[in-house]
Amino acid sequence: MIYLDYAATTPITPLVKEGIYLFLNSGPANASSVHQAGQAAHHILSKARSQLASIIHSKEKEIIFTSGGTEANNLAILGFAQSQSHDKTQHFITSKIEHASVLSAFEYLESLGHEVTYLSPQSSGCITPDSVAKAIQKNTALVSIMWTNNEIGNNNPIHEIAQLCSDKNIIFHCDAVQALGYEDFQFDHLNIDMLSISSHKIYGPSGIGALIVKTRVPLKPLIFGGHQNWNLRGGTENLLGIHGFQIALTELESHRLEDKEHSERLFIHALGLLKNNPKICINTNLENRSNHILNFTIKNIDGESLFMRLDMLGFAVSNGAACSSGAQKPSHVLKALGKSDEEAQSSIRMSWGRFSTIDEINSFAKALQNIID
Amino acid sequence: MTEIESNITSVNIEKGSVIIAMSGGVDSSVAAALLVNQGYKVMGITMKLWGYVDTGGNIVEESRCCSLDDIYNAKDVCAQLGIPHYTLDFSEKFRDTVITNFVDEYKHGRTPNPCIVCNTKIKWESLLDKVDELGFDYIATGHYANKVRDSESGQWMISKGKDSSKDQSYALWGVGQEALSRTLFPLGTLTKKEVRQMAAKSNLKSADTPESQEICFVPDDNYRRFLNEKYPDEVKDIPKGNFVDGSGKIMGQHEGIHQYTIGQRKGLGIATGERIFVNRIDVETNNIYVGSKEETLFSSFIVHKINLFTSLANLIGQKRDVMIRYNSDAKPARIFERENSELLVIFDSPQSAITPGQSAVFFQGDNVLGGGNIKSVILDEFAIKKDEGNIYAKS
Repeated sequence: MIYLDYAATTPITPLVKEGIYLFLNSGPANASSVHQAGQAAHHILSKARSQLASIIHSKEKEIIFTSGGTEANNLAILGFAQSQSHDKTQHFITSKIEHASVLSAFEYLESLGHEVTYLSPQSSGCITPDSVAKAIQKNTALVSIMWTNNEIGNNNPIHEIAQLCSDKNIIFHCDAVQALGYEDFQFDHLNIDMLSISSHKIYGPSGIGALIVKTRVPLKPLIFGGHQNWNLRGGTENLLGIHGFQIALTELESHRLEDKEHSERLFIHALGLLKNNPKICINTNLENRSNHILNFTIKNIDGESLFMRLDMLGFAVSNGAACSSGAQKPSHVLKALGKSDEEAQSSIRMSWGRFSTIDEINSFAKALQNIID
Repeated sequence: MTEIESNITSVNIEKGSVIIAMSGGVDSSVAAALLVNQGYKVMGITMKLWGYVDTGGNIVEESRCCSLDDIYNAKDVCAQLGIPHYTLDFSEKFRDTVITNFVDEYKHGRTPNPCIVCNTKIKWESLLDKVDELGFDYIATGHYANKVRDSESGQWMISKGKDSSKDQSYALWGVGQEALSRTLFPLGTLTKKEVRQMAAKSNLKSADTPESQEICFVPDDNYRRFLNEKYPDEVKDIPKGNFVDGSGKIMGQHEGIHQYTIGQRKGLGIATGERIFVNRIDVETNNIYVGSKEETLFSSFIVHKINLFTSLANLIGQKRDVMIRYNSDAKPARIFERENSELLVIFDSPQSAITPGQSAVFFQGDNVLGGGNIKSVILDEFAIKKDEGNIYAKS
């Protein structure tokens, strides 16, 4: 199989596997237990937290471990909304191209009577600071805009939007799940109040992620029951996951430049192979791109069949959003960019990473060409 | 062969490739297993035809088809068999053809048979298109039916499955010739009992799934609720009218013709102390005729929208067995040609509740010669008899 779906999940590196294996052999470990085994576990947790904090330039106290990006996004949006006065209608700003975990959280807030503005992207796929500025109202409590879009791979002008929110004293949340590993993360230098990250997009295990939160941000927990994570997320810590996440992140840090160059090389190569085909229309914004995702539409082709044929040939790519049944729905991101249902259905997202090769991109492009020509 | 061997044999290139429509139930699961075992290259497809949002109602119990449980069942069975599985969304097409037809038929006082429309238009048209696009050879389903080839004409015909209590040949009369030539029915030579045993023996995840119900998108079996709740604009202007008995006497008021079906006894709200049945829905006068069980008996009816697996000559003027509803016995009848590609069917003895909108399927022994939709029932038997000489002369 040729795996070109890194944006869905990445393979776990040998180093992470080994670390997890060693951890599994280290005996029972609840970081809250008072005995010495518990102390040992707590030490692993503290080490992971401090390592993570130093890599992303945050304080340890700013890290809340969650079950992944979805929970981090939910906690940021709903946990913040919970902390606000319940008497007044609050206003929120987000975009139409966010991940489902962000959109669904806001839809829930709407059902409680709050007001949400869903910004449309420009045709390039980006959310402009200007459109955020125009949407701000007196009662705007929170803005949530993603860093790198998970379907088309464009980067939003996150620094400008963060600055704007900071100037207006509005809390800014950023879903950075797809940006981790590709963009510079110096949390203390960013004007971002809350940042969601996830382990299984950076070669760590799934089921673990974090919300990085400036201590000034008022937040209520969504999961009650324990003192863990400063009372903001109850439940015994997923130490196995946290440990794996930490190893992956440390490894990521040492590969950062290499990874960046590699993904850019692959992007330019893939683009070169695909862009001149008159049946292919590139959806990824070439100006503000993250380099690990390339999304394109194939004209006049049945998307479902195309996808299945590629899979039968052993190519794992994605065609946007799959619903729980596995049936393919037109991507809401591509539709927000003005694509029709049919165009959205016949779009492919390729994504790659550290272990991808030029040869893999070549054989994919060849197989694709054979099918569509 | 009566059991599925646990070790999957390797794919036999000459056998060809087949896409099997998998509901997640036991029948299509075993059918898939048999095909794998026979050496075909197999791919499982679950067709998502509708979602709960389309059906409405206070549905507590998961319906048998198209629920997530079933899709996951199909996925798990395919994983057990080592074959790929995909879910394809046909819900738009299903709504535009099957459900639209369903609503329209009730609006016009007929009783639709959505399974047959689905077989003809969705499974053996839309899914077969996918089979083509993907470069596969065959389509297979878990129907209890067979296909046979007429040695003289070379035409394919549907024929009854081995398990007469589960036979589904009635629902397959609309399948086209080309489509049928590319169809496999792995369960045609098996009984339901054997299928369940195979599933249990092979430990297939769907071994214990319950029997499917009649209309998949009306999980509570309450089609009146479905129409009123999901298609209020379509049915709200259908006028109320009168229940009338054979003598023309008004027996009560009905709630609109879409709420009734021929042979219906319950829910009429007529108290006469006797059992009263709907025997005719008259769209023109908006009357619904009711009466005794005997009054639902008719002999002659007209069939249109016909699909034949054989030449017309093999039907016209012949005595054939005709089935007028699913899971009933086919009864002897004579068949005559009419104008506009319609057929006249005259049963040897009167049958109860011949229902416009249902299918009439023509059998010769176990073979299906073809079928069509029941257009209308002939009320004036005398006129037919009088006319019979002419009809004979014509055919």
